[in-house]
Amino acid sequence: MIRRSVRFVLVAAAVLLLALAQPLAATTDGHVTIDVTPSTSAVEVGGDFTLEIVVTNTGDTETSALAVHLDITDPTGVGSVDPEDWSSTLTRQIGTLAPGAVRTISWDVKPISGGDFRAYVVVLPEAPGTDIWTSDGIALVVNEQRSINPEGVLPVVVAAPAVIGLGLISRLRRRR
Amino acid sequence: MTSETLPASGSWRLVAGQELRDLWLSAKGLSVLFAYTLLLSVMAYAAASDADLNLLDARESVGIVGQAAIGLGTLAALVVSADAISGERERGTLEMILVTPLPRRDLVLGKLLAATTMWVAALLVSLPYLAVMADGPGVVLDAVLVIVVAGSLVAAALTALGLAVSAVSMSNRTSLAASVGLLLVLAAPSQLPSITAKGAVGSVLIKANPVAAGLRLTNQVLVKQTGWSSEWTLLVSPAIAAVLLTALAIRMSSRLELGDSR
Repeated sequence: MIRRSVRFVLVAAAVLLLALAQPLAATTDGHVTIDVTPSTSAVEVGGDFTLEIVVTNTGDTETSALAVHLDITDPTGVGSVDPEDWSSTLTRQIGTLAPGAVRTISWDVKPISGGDFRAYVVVLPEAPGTDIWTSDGIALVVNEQRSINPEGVLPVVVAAPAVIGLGLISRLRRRR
Repeated sequence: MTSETLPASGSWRLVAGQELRDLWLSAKGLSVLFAYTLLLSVMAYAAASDADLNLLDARESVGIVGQAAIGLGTLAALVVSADAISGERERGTLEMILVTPLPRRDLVLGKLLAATTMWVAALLVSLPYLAVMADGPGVVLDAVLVIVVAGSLVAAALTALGLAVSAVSMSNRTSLAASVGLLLVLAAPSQLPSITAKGAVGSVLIKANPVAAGLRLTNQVLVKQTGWSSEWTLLVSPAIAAVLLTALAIRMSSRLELGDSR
């Protein structure tokens, strides 16, 4: 009777361990870290800024081929944001990372709408799997302030017609 | 053009000189050029300041200004050439010119050269706009080359077309309306959606049409950055049109008639 009870306990324990082990194997093993600088940024609509993303394999084994994905959102839901309009590409492949290897990516972003946003970076394997690593959120404050002299065109768009207009007035006066 | 004694040979120079004086020493040329710069200024400022246009890629703004410079500059030259003969006919001065020993071919050639200077002036005025706007995305050289090469070929073709229309039009109004209408019809295919333009029919429509081809080349080189080597075929129809329409305008000089401007 005791032996049967012990056997039952052992089988139950094994089943329990197997059940617990399955989700553990599917979660992240935590050997990739992501650092993004700057952690906060204030820019104007249309202004360029660059995110420096450093992906480090802090584990003991080589990773599978990895992809880095940038996402931008407004957590308050006040404004809508389409990250595809902010950057020409949102996903980049960085390949495998050997233990201790570091991969640095510069990501140019150009905000097209004003507001308070969060950007974050996700690293995930190219192959199907559930391992995923996420960076801290980056606070982006985008001001809608507009320049009165966009692209420096104001002097030309004013001066050219002014000069020709003055020439025209002078010509008309001379004819009188 | 005022009447004066003209030698029979090489008189196109005298005609051109007289036409240039009429165009630039009067208010006519400067009025057209002033309207051109005003419109180009509005377009350039709108293109540079419009968030939707400018934020994704500054090259879009350069492309818009480049196309506007070619389109409006061509229109300016067309307005001048469309007035060249029908205007004389309407003012009753064509008769005085036709009774002189001036070869009619020289008359048309001189007027054509004078009208072409309107494009040259428009081209020179547009250069600062393009230089300022193209500096950011670093396409100044391409912008200048596009407007000088493609713009000049399109303008030469349309200036000659305007003169040919003017030669057969009995009134200035008819000549201007027909010339501007033709320009609009020719420019329309360049506004085709990109999907349609990539199709076989759309592609032929654009490549065979000198105005649409010139405007498309501007867009491809400045905005799409596809490079001259892959887009040079877009210059074929403007070049052919410039030669053929100039020949047509000169050819039509033999059929110049006083007509009835009423």
